[in-house]
Amino acid sequence: MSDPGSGAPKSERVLLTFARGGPGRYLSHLDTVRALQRTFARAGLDLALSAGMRPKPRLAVGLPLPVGAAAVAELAVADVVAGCAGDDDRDAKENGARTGRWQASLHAAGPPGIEVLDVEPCSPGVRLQPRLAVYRWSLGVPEDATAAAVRSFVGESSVPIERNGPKGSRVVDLRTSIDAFEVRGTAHGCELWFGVRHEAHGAARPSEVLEEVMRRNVIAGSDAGTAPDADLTRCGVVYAGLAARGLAQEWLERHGSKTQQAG
Amino acid sequence: MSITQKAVFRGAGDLEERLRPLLRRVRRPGRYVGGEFNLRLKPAAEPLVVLSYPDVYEIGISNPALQILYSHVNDRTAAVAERAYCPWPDMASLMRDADLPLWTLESGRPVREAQVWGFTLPHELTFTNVLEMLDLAGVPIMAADRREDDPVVVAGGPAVAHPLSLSPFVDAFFAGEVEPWVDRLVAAAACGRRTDRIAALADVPGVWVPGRGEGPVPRQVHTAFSTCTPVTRPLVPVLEAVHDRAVIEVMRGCSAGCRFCQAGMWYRPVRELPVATVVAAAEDLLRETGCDEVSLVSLSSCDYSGVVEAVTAIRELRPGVRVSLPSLRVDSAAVKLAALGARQRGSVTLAPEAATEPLRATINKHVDDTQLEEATSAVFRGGYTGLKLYFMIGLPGETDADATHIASVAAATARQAREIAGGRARVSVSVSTFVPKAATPFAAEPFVGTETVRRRQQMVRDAWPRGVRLSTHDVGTSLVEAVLARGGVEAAVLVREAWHRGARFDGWSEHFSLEVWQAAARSIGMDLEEAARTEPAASPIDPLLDEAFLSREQERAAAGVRTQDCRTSACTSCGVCAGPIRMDLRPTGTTQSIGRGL
Ligand code: SF4
Repeated sequence: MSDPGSGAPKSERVLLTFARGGPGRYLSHLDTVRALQRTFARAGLDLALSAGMRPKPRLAVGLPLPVGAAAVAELAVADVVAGCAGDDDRDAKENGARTGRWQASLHAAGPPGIEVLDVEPCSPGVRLQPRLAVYRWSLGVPEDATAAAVRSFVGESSVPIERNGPKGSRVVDLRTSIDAFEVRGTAHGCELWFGVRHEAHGAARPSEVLEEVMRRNVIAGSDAGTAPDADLTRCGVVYAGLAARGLAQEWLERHGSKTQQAG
Repeated sequence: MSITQKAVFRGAGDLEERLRPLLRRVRRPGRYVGGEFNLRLKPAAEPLVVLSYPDVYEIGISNPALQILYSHVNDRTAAVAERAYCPWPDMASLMRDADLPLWTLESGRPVREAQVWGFTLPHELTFTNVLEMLDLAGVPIMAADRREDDPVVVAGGPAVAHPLSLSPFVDAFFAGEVEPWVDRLVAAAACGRRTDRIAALADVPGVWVPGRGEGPVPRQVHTAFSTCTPVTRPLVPVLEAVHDRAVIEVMRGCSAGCRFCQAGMWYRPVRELPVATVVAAAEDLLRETGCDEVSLVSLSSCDYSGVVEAVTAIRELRPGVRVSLPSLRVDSAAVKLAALGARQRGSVTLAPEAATEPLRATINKHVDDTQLEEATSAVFRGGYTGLKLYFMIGLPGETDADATHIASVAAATARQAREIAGGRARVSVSVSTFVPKAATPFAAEPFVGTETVRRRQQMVRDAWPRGVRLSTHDVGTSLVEAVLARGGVEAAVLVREAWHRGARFDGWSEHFSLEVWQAAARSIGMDLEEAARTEPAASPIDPLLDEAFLSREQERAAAGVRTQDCRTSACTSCGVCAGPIRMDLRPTGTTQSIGRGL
């Protein structure tokens, strides 16, 4: 995440909640940031610019989404130049009518795959530090088989995987990164829900979790390992010091005891 | 909060959901689902016109001709225009495995449901992609095999100057600038049966239907260019595209008269937009695109009469707005860059094309060494840190010494750049290969041959100075381009044969295979080198240039004599200006119209 820095003079920081789906699923993190910056420009809301030789609009998206994933409620912070929309009157500011109008114009100005759901004022010091992300894989795999595989995964004390990156390879323990699992049956198979803890030493990637769970799927047979119809949605994220977004609130209510550090 | 059920993810319909299993397995899946800003959806509208650019999405999305047609058809007619680009080979093979026909990015319906399927053809190396797209759509590649429920396949763009190597695959070609005739083309698309649609198209000026009509078809000129508004609600990709900026075509045509340049001859005469139109369009574009950069494009934007006024006024529209001029002429760059002031960054491209004075005279490039020095100085003193120079190898009359001199010019330019800007100055040089094109004075020149090109490329490399980046083109692609740009129907057989053998994306070095083309040529008894040297087949398209002008230019080229720019000196009687077709310059935003062609 690129941090927009502390509030600059004459700008105010807002929290932006957005969903993405349809064609928006295939945006990279940078594409998503650029699309949101462009949405502000199209809505006539000027973003404050960063300092330096190549000033950039100050908008940061909290937690990068994997390419291909839909999302229910993502967060971004943006610094809007004060008075740029010509409605700086105090009453409107206080009763939220102004941010409501901003949401409406951002919603209209966005591209087909991104929907701006909410705009709320926040303190200039707010930063987006993810603590927990809740994911849902929709699978064409029977519920029983998935549940058995999850039990096998959970029964292990660690599930190490090796990640190869430009700086060499490192080992991540998926087991300790997972907060909890849920398996829910659907007409076509099941949904595999899980929370991923975000801590200093890195977090499990949803594709890695699916692969390791499916590797333990002995009932569904060889097909399951590849989960060809798997479909990923991020249902919510919990950020330090902020109210949980999307379905993460319900998740916390169900699994709160295991995710105390998330709040 | 629950998962949103709003119709937000408007655009792709259920397309994305249907394609998801495929999209997961390809590179850059966003290429196949649309989702741009300013996407138009007219689900109930008819007829369906599909617009295609036969290359990958990232290249095609920026094509200005497609943007013009897309806006015009969707916003000003009852028809609907949707798009399809050429699927990358990874997606193409999954589509064939899944038996999934090519779809449109807007509604996701099969392209073959279109009444008219229009391609814009930028150059010959996209021809195999046209066949690939037809095949992926389930439309017979041969026009003669198409059935009543197949679309009418129409092709336009500069490569139509010599359409023969694509003629068996296309139902109708449109020659020239399409704007005046969009409504007629759409009306033809609405004519029920396929045969009626083709017949109606054949009546539209500029349309050539292979096998029909007599005499060459004159290319069309958009005579009202200067009084029309440019596209101000373009599609803006959400994926990173090749050009990430708002674009205004400030001028059409070029009067410099470079003898090798097809675009320079094909888009004559010069017509300019008034500055007021440009500035108003910039204001709309900044709002509609959310971009902070406006690019003033044309074949030679520094020649645009209002360039300084327009740049200044656009910069004043909003703080932080940047203006770029992508194509600068060496001879006018120094003055114009200085006028633009020092708030510049990035790099500038200049095209001296030839390294020596005599060769520049042969190709009619109005540049001398002093001007190149002045331009280099203006670039680096103006705050830019990079300069890219374009040269060609294989020009008519070129000697080995002319080619190796490219290295000397590169060395001198790099030295000068370092003196001004120190270590941060970057000079890079691109050396491409000259391909003779239709509708130019050099159309009948033989392609110089791969052996000569390779030898001269090596001579350039051997003499190359340190610290300057050099890129050269694969001569094999130029050879194929030369064959297709002059060939007759046998070249069309070659295209089909090469495509059958797997030729796709021939403009991409990672996909182009000279072996495939050579094997295809052998199988039909053709020798590529010989085919690239033979007399060009007669084109069914009239580029509006006088034969007398073309032969005069050939003689002057042979004698090393330049011909003046008709914008700054007298008309050189190229034959284009006649009746309503006239040069239209707008020096101060007035409605002054200067026609000197008669
Ligand atoms: S007819 Fe004359 S003025 Fe018109 S484009 Fe040709 S040379 Fe220029």
